[in-house]
Amino acid sequence: MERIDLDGMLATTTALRAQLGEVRLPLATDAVDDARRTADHVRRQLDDYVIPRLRDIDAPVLAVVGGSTGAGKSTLVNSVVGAEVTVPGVLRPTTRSPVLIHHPTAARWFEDDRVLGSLARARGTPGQPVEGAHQLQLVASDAVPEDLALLDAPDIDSVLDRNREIAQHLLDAADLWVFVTTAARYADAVPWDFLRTASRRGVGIGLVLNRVPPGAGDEIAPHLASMLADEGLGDAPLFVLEEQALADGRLPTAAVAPMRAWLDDLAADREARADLVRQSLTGAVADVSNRTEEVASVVEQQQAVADQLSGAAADAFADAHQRLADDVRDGTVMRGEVLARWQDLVGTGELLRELQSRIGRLRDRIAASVTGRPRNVEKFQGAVESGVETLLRERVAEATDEVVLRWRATSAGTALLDDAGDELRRPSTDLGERASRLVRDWQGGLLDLLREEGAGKRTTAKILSYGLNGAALVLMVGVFAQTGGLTGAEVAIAGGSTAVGSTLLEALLGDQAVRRLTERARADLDRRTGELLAGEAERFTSLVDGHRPDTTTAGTLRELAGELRRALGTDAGRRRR
Amino acid sequence: MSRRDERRSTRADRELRQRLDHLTAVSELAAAGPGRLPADLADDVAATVERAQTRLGRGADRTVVALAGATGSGKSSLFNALVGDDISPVGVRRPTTSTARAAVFDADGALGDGTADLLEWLQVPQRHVVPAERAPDLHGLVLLDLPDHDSVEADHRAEVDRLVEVVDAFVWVVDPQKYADAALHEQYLRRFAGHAAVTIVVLNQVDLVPEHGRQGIVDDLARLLEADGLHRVRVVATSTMTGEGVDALRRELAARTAERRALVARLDADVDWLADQLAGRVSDRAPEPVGRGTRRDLTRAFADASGADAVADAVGAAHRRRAAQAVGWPPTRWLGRLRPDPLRRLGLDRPPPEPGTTTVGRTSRAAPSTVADAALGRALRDFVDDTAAGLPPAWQERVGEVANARRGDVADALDRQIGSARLPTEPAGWWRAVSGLQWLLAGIMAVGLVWLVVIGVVAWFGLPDLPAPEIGEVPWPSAMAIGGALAGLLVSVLARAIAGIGARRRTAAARRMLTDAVSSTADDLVADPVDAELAALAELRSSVRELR
Ligand SMILES: Nc1nc2c(ncn2[C@@H]2O[C@H](COP(=O)(O)OP(=O)(O)OP(=O)(O)O)[C@@H](O)[C@H]2O)c(=O)[nH]1
Ligand SMILES: Nc1nc2c(ncn2[C@@H]2O[C@H](COP(=O)(O)OP(=O)(O)O)[C@@H](O)[C@H]2O)c(=O)[nH]1
Ligand SMILES: [Mg+2]
Ligand SMILES: [Mg+2]
Repeated sequence: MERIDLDGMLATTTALRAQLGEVRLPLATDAVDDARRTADHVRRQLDDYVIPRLRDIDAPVLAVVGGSTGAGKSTLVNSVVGAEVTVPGVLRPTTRSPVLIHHPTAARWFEDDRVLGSLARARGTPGQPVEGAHQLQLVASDAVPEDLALLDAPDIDSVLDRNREIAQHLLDAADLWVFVTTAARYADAVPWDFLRTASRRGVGIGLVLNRVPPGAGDEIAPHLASMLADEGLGDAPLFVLEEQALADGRLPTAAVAPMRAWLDDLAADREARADLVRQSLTGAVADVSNRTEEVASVVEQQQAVADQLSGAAADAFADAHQRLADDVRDGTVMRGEVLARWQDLVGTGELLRELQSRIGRLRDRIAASVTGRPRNVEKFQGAVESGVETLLRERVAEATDEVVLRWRATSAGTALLDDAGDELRRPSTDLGERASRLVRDWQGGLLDLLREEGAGKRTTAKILSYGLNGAALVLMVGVFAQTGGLTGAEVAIAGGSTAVGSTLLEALLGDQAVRRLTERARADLDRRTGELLAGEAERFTSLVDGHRPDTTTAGTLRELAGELRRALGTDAGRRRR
Repeated sequence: MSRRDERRSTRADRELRQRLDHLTAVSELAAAGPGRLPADLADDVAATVERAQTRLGRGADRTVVALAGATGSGKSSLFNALVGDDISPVGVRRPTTSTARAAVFDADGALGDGTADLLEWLQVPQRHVVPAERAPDLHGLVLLDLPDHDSVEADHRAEVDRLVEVVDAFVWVVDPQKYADAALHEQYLRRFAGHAAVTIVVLNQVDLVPEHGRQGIVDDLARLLEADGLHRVRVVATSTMTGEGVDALRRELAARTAERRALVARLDADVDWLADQLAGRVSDRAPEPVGRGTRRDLTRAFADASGADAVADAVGAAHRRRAAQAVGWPPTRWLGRLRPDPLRRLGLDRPPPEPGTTTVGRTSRAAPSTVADAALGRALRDFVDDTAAGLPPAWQERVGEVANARRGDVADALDRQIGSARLPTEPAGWWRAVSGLQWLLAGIMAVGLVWLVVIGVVAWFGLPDLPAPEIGEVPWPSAMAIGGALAGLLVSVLARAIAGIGARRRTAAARRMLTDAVSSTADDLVADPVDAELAALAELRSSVRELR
């Protein structure tokens, strides 16, 4: 025992316990329920067994009598103790509160919340156990050895979930399992799940095969023994008890004598006890270490899922952004309505008037205000605005659909969407408004660009002060009409008529300046749409960020688990030598 | 079976068949439209229909009862006790029974074809015919001894899971040790809570409980069954060791077999269970057909996106332009030709194809722009939002799929509709007369001008003055030249104004025409399929409601 660095391990497990308290698994990934249970389980195992055991390595051995309902656990405990310390019954399940029977002098080990701290305590006297569900009942009896306490546990397989939970809990806290099964039960699936856990954990185990029909023992006991051997539990002592008439609700003393002797021997042999405790403790610590790794990998998995979810959102909107940029660049925006309006604008000579003469412009305005019909300039600007807005909205809607689709394919994503409600499944409600404001702002920004470009050059400034509007229009068309999406005829029409304007612009500013201006205008539009799309993506990514596990947790968990494993490894190595 | 029993049973039978018809309708509707129901539920429905039909077609006069329960509860012992012979091996090793075994109770002492069929279908190869004299009261019963469901043998469990789906009635055998096991209550009894009418629970091995404790256990078991949702289930306490209760169980089985209600009751319970599952999947309100307003909105949006408005405007502009050329002032008519014909620009100046011809080339209007395509996308989204509002999410998704099923064809179809529309482009009747008048006026002006020129030339050469008659103060040639010009201009102004009215009228007519054309596309490709889907969903819903 002294070979394990108890203090070091205590420090590590305490740190681990604290770290496990910090574990958050906010995403509803497939494995999350299991992982949360595992995390709880490890926390409890540390609280209820490992840490107290490391603190008081010499405390009495705790032997938990567990098993199926109706297997006769309470009857057996009473029979072994030789007194009515726990209540057996014909109704299934009977025992709901665990009963811990200890020697009167060992009371101090169990009265505080050192072991099984999560259960409330109640004290009963032999023959008069206290009533009340789901608390730990303490009974002092000098029929049990000083260095061994017996615990009658609730069942592991009845309809009462709580019983199963407590039973699991108690078995986790045991130095020794006394596992009770019966002739009718020994091949049930549920107990074997527990036995496999026990085998894995390396806890000391004794089996009781109870209620064997007279004469059937010869057939059943070897069968059970071979099943035990298959699970690596071949060394566990097996006690076979026939179904027999009970006297005073207890089995005859002779029937339980072998079992009693086994327990007494264990209690009397300091060395054997220490071995048992060490075996159980190292098994528990190894189990804690393994399960901690499991939890850590789920934490990592959650981080990966979170990355994947926000990646899906970022990708979808980045795609949308790219497509928008392409749409703008290849001139498809210019087609249809926008082109028609541009042709009207050019065909009526309104553009040239916009560009060149104040008076012409004035006349157009007066005509427009008299007839109440919008000028072609406004129609054109409107067409651009609604075209870009429509594109923008559709791309956002498509990206949103895409994210929803990809999120729906994962359970974590589905849960996030369901929690967020209907709103998230659609683009934000004010999108249309923001999109058209975006286009108007951009159109306004073109004027500033031109003004900047013209500043300083006296003549250009003068001319531009006349035709700023018109120049902005020409620039706009330059942004959208870079061949690509236009058919030959369209290029001729759009290009031809822009040519008039752009030659004029080029003449004013120089063709390099015009090219630069076009680039800047396009970049400006790109930036604005990028911002808007980022805002939309943010609705998804911020949701994920709110559900992202802490990044350092997994690493710390793995580190502590590794430390525990190393501590055990050295011990195991020394023992072998 | 008494006369009254028989009448009641045929009614129950008829009702079940009706419900199965509705369930069949549900199944077919679900199969025809993936997404109308969750796939696993649709599978369940189809499987249940199939199972029910098959079962009703095979030995419908037999009642199949399964002895089911945990290992060691005494199923095989009870089976042997009821048969009156040690057919099924009973052992102390757990688990003992690994495959199902049937005992056929028949007054003729023979396995009829119907029963053989039935057992074939149940996939129970181990069968025993119980001689008539041994159990005349159980005639018609097919008793199954099942393996356990709770041992480490997963195969046993699988066999139980298969058989509990197909038997007519259950006898759940429990014992004083295992009657409260989660494995039984959570996995089976709760799931078959709706099957109380075809469920008997046997508490076996009561000999192991002291006399005074038995009633307590029976009451506790009854309480647990109530908690599972199995109401008023018959609980029989038995012991195969002492034989107590076995006769009571036999009487219970005899009565149920004689009634012949179990088969129908079980299938009814299955349908009930499905009805519950289905109820949560259909909408509370019946899906309504696509509203007229919604159709109109879709047409409107499609017309916008496809540029129908631009075409209608072009029709007006073209009319105005052509009118200007037909009735404008002849000397300046050529000016108008400098501007492109708006319809030609759209590739729509060709005469539309004769009605009846099917091949319509694309207009030379450009392929739909991204903007137009995006607008179509939005129109469809809005349409789905409108029509699917209030439906369960899965149905909304389904409506969305149907609405977008021919998304790729919409742009083309719209273009073709516009291309084939017989747009009002023919010249107006009065143009010819006004044009004649214009030429006449131009002629007069020309004559006046020539006259003036001649007068001038004559005067220049100093020849004697030509006589220049006068009207009032103004000489004729001047009057003809100036008057002709003024009158021509006046007429052209008036004619243009009238052509403007005509252009507006034609624009409106073209718009109406195109709207009609677009609306037929919208109906064909989107609204009608969605309507059909909504009708199917409504039918699905009403079929589901008929199940209750
Ligand atoms: N005849 C006989 N009865 C027994 C034997 N062991 C247990 N019983 C009876 O079996 C029933 C269940 O016994 P309990 O000791 O309450 O069983 P338990 O394992 O504590 O059950 P829970 O508290 O429900 O988990 C009681 O009625 C006992 O009298 C036995 O060896 N022989
Ligand atoms: N005491 C008692 N034992 C029974 C009773 N019924 C069955 N057994 C025993 O319980 C064991 C299991 O019986 P079996 O019929 O094989 O159970 P199965 O697994 O449910 O088919 C056998 O050893 C039987 O002898 C009973 O009513 N009382
Ligand atoms: Mg007990
Ligand atoms: Mg059996």
